[in-house]
Amino acid sequence: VKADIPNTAKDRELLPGGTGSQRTAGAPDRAGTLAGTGTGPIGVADARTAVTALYQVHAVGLIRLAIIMTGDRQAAEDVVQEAFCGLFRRWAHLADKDKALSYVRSCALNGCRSELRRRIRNERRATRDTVPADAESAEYAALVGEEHREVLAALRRLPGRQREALVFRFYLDLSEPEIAATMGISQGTVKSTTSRALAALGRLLEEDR
Amino acid sequence: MNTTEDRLRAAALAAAGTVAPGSAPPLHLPDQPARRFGVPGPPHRRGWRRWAAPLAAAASVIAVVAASLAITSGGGARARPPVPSGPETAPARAAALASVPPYYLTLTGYSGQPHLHAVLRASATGSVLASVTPPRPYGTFTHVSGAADDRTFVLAAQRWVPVPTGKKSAAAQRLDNAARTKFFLLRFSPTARTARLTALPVPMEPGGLPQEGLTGLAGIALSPDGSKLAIAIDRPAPLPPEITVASVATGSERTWVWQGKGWIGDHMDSFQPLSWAADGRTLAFQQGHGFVTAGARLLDTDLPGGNLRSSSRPAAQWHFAGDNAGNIAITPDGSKIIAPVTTFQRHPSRSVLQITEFSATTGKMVRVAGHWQYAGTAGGQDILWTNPSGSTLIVISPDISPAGHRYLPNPPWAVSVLTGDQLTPLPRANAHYTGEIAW
Repeated sequence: VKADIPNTAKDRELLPGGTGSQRTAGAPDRAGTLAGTGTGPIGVADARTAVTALYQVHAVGLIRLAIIMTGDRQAAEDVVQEAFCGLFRRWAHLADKDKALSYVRSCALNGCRSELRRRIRNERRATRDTVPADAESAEYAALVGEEHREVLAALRRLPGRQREALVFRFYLDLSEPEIAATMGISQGTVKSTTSRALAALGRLLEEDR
Repeated sequence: MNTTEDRLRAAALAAAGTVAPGSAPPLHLPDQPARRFGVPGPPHRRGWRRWAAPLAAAASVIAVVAASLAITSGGGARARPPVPSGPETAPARAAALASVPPYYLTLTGYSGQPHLHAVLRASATGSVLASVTPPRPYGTFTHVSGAADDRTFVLAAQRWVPVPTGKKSAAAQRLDNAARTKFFLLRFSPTARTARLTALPVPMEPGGLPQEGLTGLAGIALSPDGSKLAIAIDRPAPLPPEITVASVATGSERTWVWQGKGWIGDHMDSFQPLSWAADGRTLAFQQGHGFVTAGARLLDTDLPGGNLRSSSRPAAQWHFAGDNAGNIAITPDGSKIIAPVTTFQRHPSRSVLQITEFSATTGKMVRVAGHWQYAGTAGGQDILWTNPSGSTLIVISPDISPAGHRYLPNPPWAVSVLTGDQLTPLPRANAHYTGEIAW
């Protein structure tokens, strides 16, 4: 996912938990855009205020997205935390502050991919006596339930692009053009990727029975 | 959940539901970004570098002054005695409204009148995001309930029948309690700002809001993952009340009947007597005796249907005064019951309302989250939503922050976010019956 993906009006609201708030200088509105930060001198304090305000509005939605991708609350929080730190570090170089949410979401998705890759590596190295690298927390397992965990585990076995297409389509309820814009691929590719991903997910779930 | 799509959707919602609103940890940013801050400009504006140093110096001065002011202000605040319910600041208000689910579904109009439709609003602003009318032949929605995600709801719909009363003032229609209730799943898409209504295969229960001497729907509750619907049915004595839990996907159901004295829900009003824990298995329901004692019991919905008393265990008990006992909620981890506890004193006529946390294990009171006293009879006070720890609630209460020992004369009531002593009214949130609003 490109860091400078288009931030369409609909795209700005795709995150669950993004509630918006009273619009004040430096605080993000519902669309994730930032008031009073488009032009003018930008200092560390301004960046800190703006990034913190964006975090307050969108952190929960991004953690939810990350927990679907990773299945681990701690990892999801870490990924989102790191994404916002990345935004803070890059703040001065972000020409269009209205794209801050897109940027941080891309960072979070990249972080989820890295986390899953790290787990696969660890699994390959793991010995019989070690705790599986993708072990979910007991709290998460209890809250989500066996049936749902099977589905989510199968989802995480899909290739990254397929996994993200499914989450965008069936969790975030994005349309095909929106998914195409977010993933930086054509609408036709979205359609075929989603279709293949659903079929693959169905096969994985059958295999697990 | 038959299709892979449905299973995936439900699983994603269940996983997302484990992250409660307002539960994000604090953000820890590095002291300094990796690179020096300045005014980013297009490459051809080479002159900006000349201003970088002065601007940085100015920003530093401003930051130091701002920090000094903040420290001064903080010192002053610490020097003052604590004010438990001071005026709410704009940031505090915004933070409170951001700590609850972003959308709520409510029925519009005044109950008792026909053709209530559902409106989905933003919690933070009250703005309407989507609106849904009952599909024909249903004339009105009667109850709503929400899943743990922020966008899945269930609505109960019912028919109306004309009533020739001969009086202009009387309603020309009434709820058709002979017809049965139909349930619909509403899924809201925040991106498209559309709400999609799907008829559920859940068997239609007896229709009608509970009315004296009639069977009625006392409340519904959608499980956190949206896969089960719990339905409380109130029946005229001596028929026993019951609770049914139905699969949203298939309509298969289990029913537990309350054998013995006492009530489930409240036959005088339509409030929400049911609340799910996050495990999707434990259902808290309110059960009481007469107009004195109310309590919460926990039902294991994985057990086969049958006797509601033997399939459940008592979790807490309390006294109440007034016409109804109010909504209760169980915290998602199942550890606490949060209930409105009301007491009434006749001479002089005074009421005390307390939002109280009970341990679901021991039944003992853990904490009083809100405390109001006012002249007159106790009114309704309800818990509509709780975060995982019970520290943030959505309540119906007097429209004023918990007032300590001050007696309030006829306070207005509002749907608000209660965090500590801070009460933040939710813009445009209103519900005549508590079964008519859900997060």
